[in-house]
Amino acid sequence: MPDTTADTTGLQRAPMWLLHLGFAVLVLGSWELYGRTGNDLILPPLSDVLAGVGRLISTGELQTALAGSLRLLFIGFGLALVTGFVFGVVAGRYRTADRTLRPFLDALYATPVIALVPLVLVWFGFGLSGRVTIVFLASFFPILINVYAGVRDAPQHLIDVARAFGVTGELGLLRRVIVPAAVPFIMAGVRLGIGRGVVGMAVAEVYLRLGGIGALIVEYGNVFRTDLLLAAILPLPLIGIGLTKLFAVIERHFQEWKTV
Amino acid sequence: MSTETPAPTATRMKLEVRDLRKVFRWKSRGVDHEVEAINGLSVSARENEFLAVIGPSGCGKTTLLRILGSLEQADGGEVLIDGKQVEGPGQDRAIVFQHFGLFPWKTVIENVKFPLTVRKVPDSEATARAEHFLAMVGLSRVHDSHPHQLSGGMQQRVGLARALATDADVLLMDEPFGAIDAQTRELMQEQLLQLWTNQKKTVVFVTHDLDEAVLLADRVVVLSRGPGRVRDILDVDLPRPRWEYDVRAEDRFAHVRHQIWQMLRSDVEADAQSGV
Repeated sequence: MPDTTADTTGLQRAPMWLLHLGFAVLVLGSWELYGRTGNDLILPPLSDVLAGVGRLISTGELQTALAGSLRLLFIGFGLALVTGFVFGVVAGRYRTADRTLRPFLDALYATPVIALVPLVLVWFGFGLSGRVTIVFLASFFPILINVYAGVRDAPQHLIDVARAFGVTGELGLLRRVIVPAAVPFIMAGVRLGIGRGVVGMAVAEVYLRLGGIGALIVEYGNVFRTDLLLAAILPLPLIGIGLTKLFAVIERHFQEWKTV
Repeated sequence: MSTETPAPTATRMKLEVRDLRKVFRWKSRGVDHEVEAINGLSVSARENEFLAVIGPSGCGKTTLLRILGSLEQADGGEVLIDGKQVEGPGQDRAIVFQHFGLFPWKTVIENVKFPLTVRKVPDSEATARAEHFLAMVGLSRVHDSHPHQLSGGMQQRVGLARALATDADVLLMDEPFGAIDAQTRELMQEQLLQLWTNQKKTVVFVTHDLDEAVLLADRVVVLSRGPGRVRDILDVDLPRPRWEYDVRAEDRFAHVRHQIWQMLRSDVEADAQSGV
């Protein structure tokens, strides 16, 4: 098949990591150069930010903050995964549940989590339960909606095959056909859910109660230490990349059959 | 068991369908609709007989097969295997599906093992049996492939191996070669005849292909529609094994084919005129 992209150089044959690295060098290099010529308050040079990361690590602040944030993320996301899966399966399999819940789910899916912060505050307070609720709400709906879509669209002809060869009962069908068939959807939901969960985590730590990475960001922002502020933000995209990669590996394992 | 001795003249009936009736009901815009797909259909198959079922579209031939496989419930009549009424899917029947019905997330061998795994057959035994039947259909070398990596013909051979691995006496085949290209189909037909000769199964083979019906079957059941019932049953009466000569060149082949076509013709013409 002819390549229709505009690339005419050897660049299109360059390995992916080289392209990523090249782009990073370009962006970070410009950052460094601009930082050296400009105002430290607006954009300190990259080297200062990295030094800031080193400082936050040496004082132990970053590790403590990261541990707190990840704990929050995993509790909230874990709860969202389990409940999102269960509700998604029920809504996908039972028409009445689907028809009853759908408008409410759609409405909540479209509601930004940040708008719910005051309500969560009133209902659950500042403590861990309040913050977990924010992460949960952020992750829950993408997981629920994707599980629901995957289960609802489970191919009827494969369900027939399973029944013909002796699978009985709703649980048997779920285990042997419906859930395996929905794996691509489920994994998409998990990936979206974790991304939204990271956002929820930051929101909860900044707006609900200072803690974890969110607290570092706010504290150093308040004292105009932009270098340390950026140093505290840096782990967030790294968490994002790390978790996305992790789930990509799991996904490949489950759906070899889809990607080839 | 019955204490009566069976009449010596009667060949034992493996599969009996008596006065079957199926009505599909659905609701659209608050109005109830119903259509009678099958009414008063009776047919039976002798042990190890190859029965082809043919008919115009909408004659209920796939519905008949789904009822035989207990994937659909009849609204009247009964289905008996070895004289006993069937209740739900059973190990006595195995289905070969039109669109293969392989699980895309399972490898070839896992697909063949599936019915055995469901029945909790020990894994080593299930693997051995699956390998045996994969070798029989000529697919030993693709065990660990996924279905999408195989051609349609190969996928259906996996479907066939899966059905054979169940050890069911009755094979229900729903237009199994309909989605396969013409040359491969001829090879598959020949292979099916060879397997059937060795394995001795009672086969109900639904098709819309006249040549295929005559080529394979002992008897061809011609259905008529509106609602589906048996119009006629024809003895093919061509010598076996049929892969050892050119069946299509026989006068008898042309004669039987012509008879079926005469019966189907009016229905097919009606379709063509109504633009279906």
